[in-house]
Amino acid sequence: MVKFLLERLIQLFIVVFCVATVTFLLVRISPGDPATIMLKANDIPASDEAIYALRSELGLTNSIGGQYIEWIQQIFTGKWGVSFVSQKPVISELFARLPATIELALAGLGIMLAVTIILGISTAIYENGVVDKLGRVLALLGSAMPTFWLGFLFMYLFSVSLGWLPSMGRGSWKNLILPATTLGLGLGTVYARVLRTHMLEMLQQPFVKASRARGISKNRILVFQVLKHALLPIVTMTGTSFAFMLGGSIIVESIFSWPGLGRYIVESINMRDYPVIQGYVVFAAILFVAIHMLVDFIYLIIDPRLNRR
Amino acid sequence: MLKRLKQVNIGLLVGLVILLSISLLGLFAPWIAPHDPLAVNLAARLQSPSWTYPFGTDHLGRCILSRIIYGIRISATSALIIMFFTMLISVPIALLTGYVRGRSDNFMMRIIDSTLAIPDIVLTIAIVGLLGPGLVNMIFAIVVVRWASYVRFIRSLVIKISQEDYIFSARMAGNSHFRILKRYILPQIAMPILVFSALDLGKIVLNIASLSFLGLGSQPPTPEWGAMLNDATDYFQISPYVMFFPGLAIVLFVLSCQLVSERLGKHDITFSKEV
Repeated sequence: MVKFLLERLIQLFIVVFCVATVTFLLVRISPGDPATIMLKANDIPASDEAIYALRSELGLTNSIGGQYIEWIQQIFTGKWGVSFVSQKPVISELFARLPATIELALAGLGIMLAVTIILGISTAIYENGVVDKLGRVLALLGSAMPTFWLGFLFMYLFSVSLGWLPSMGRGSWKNLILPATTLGLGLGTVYARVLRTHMLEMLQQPFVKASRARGISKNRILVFQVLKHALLPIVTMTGTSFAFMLGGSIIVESIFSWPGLGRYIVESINMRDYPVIQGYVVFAAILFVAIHMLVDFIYLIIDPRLNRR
Repeated sequence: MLKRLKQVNIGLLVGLVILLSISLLGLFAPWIAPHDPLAVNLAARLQSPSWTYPFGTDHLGRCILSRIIYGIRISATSALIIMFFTMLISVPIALLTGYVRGRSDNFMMRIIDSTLAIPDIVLTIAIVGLLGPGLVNMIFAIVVVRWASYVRFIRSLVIKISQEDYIFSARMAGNSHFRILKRYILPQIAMPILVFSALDLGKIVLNIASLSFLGLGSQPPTPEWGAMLNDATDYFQISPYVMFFPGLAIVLFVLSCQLVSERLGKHDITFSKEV
C-alpha cells in the first residue's frame, strides 16, 4: 500500500514537471510577444515603456533558461506567479473558484447517475418496447447535442418563458438545477444504454435462470439481482465521469455565469492573462492526475486482488 | 450483393442524404444563400423568420440562414483538415507501435494514456489559451488532443490482425515487414478506421463549435455555428431564433455522422464475414 502511494506520488511529481515544461514552451513558441498581446487585449496603448515594464514584470527580460528555472521554482514553492488582471497570486485565485466548480460537477454527476439508473432500468425492463426506443433516441440526441445549445434551450424554456428558475449566477439550490441538468443529462442518457446492455447480458446468466425456476418474477430479478451486478461498471465509470464533468463545466459555467474555474479560465484567455492560463494548466493536470489516483486507490480497497500483481 | 443493399438500413440512407445535402449546401453557398452572410442591416435586426429572412436575423441584422449555410464551409473544412492531420500522425504511429510492440510501444502508450486522462475539452482549451485564440491555433490544438485516441484505436486493430496465422505465413513466405503492413494489415483496418472517423467527424464539428462558442476558435465576423451561438448569448432572450437555428444545424450534422457510422459499423461485420 505504502509502495503504491509512493509510486503514485513520484508519478504526480513527474507529470507536474512535464506539464509545467510544456506549458512554458508553448507560451514561448507562440508567435508574438506576450506583453504586447496582453496590452492590446486589455486596451492599453502598447508604448515602448509600457511593453518594457510589463516584460520585466512578467520576467520576460531574463534569459530563456533563467525564466524556465524561475517558473519551475514558482510551481514547486507554491506561488505560481501573479495574475495580471487582479494582481493577486494565481494559486489563491484558482483555489477561490474551485469550490463552485466542484459543487457543479458533483451536482451534474448526481443528475447523470439518476438518469442512467432510471432510464437504464426502464429500458431494460421494456426491452424493444416504446420506452426502449425512446431511450435509444435520447441517447443519440444526448451525445449529439452540444451542451451550450441544451443550456440555451433550458434557459429559454425555464427562465425566460416560464420564469420558474433563475438563469444566472450561483446562490440557492434553484440556481444549481439548470446548470447541473445541462451538464449531466447528455452523459446520463448515453450511460443508460451501457447499463441496459449490461443488464440484458446478465439476464442470460445461470443464476437468473435459477431464480426464474424458483418462480421469482422477471422484474423483481432485474431490480434486486441483476442491477447489483450491472451497476459495477457504472461505479467504475463514475471516476472518469467526474473528470468529464469538470471538463464540461467550462462550457456550462460560461453559459450560466457560474463563478467557477471554467468561466475564469475562459475570461483569462480572452484577457490574455498568461500567468493565470499557465497556472490553470498545471492546476488542471494535478487535479486530473489526483482524481485518477483516487480512483485507483478506491479500486485497490474494493478489489484487493489488484494488489498482488 | 443486391440483397445486402436492400437490407441497408434507412438510418444509413437518411444519414448519408443529410450529410450529402449539407456538403452540397456548403459547396454552392454563394448561389443558395439568400443574402450576404456579412451584410449588416441594423434596420432589420433580431427579426423573426419571414419570407425575406427564412430563419430571421441576428443582432446586426444579418441573415441567419445565410450565415448557417456559409458556416458549413468553416466547420466542414476545419473538420476535414483536422481529420487529415490526425490521420497523418496517428496511422503510421499506430501501425508501427502495434506491429513492432516492445519498449517504444510501451513508451507511446504511457504518453497516450496520460493524454487521455485529461478531458479533451480541457486540454484543447489549455493549448488554445497558451497559443492565443484563433482558427489556426484551434485546429492545431484539436489535432494535438485527438491523435491519441486514434492511435489507441488503430493500434488495437493492428495488434489483433498481427497475431493472425496468415501474417505469420506471409512473413515465412519472405514478405518484408513493410510489405506486410501495406498489403495485409492496412486494407484490413481501412474499414474500421472509416467507421471510427465518420463518428469522429461529428465529434470534431462539436469540438470546433464548442471552442468557437467560448470565443476561442473562429473570430467574428466569420460565420461559424458555435460563434453564432456565442453572439446569441446576449440576445436570445429577445429573439430565440438567433440560438435555435445554429444549434439545430450542429445537432443535425452530428446526428447524421452518428447514424452513418453506426450503420456502417454493423455492415462492416457482415461484409468481413463474407470475405
